[in-house]
Amino acid sequence: MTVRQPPALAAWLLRHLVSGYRSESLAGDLFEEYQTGRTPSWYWREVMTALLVSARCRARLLFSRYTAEIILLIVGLTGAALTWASTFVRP
Amino acid sequence: MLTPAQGLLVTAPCGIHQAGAHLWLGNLFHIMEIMRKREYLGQLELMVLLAVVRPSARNAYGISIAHDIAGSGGRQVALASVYAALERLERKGFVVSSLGEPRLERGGKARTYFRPTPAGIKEARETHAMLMRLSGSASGLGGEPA
Repeated sequence: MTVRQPPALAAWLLRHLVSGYRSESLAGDLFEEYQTGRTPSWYWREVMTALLVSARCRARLLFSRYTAEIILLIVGLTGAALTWASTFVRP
Repeated sequence: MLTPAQGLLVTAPCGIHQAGAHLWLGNLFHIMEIMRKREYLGQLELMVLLAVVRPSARNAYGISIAHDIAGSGGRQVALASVYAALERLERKGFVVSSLGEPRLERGGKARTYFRPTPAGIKEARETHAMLMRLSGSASGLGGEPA
């Protein structure tokens, strides 16, 4: 059986940048489907989608874990900006 | 059973006194948490759940689910999106997953198989019945587009 190797850079991105829920199985599914004659552009599209989904999950996790800190940071920065503006900016 | 904090909202919903304000706010967050837990299925989640519930999907995994959705007249779905939906469904307790054996044709990676839970089958049945009732009463669906 001849094994078709998927695009090397896309496979590297998938291996190193996509993490989280069942990422190993996702990589296996993409490899298996690629053997059925899918094109390299299909593989690239799937990897790009996986990267976006993974990044969105990470951002959501980060926000849910540090919600209070993020809100405090925004409030603090806004307060600091308003104080600076009222002190140094003359009409 | 109501906790004292919940009772405060029932007895004094519009009177936020200084002493009880923090309790009322705590109550509000509690209600928001309950509302968040009762999440409805999204479109992709429902499609994925129906693909897993099908009797033919005895060993459903990422590719077979994506093929089922595409083969049923649905659109092509990215595998990563299927896995994201499966993760949400597993978190809600509607599917369970198990890892298979590593396979050579998959580059040494194992398949993850998904099975519906009784709660998942119930949710799929209820959502399907509701959609059928709604579409049955929507007479505009069968006609020419406006």
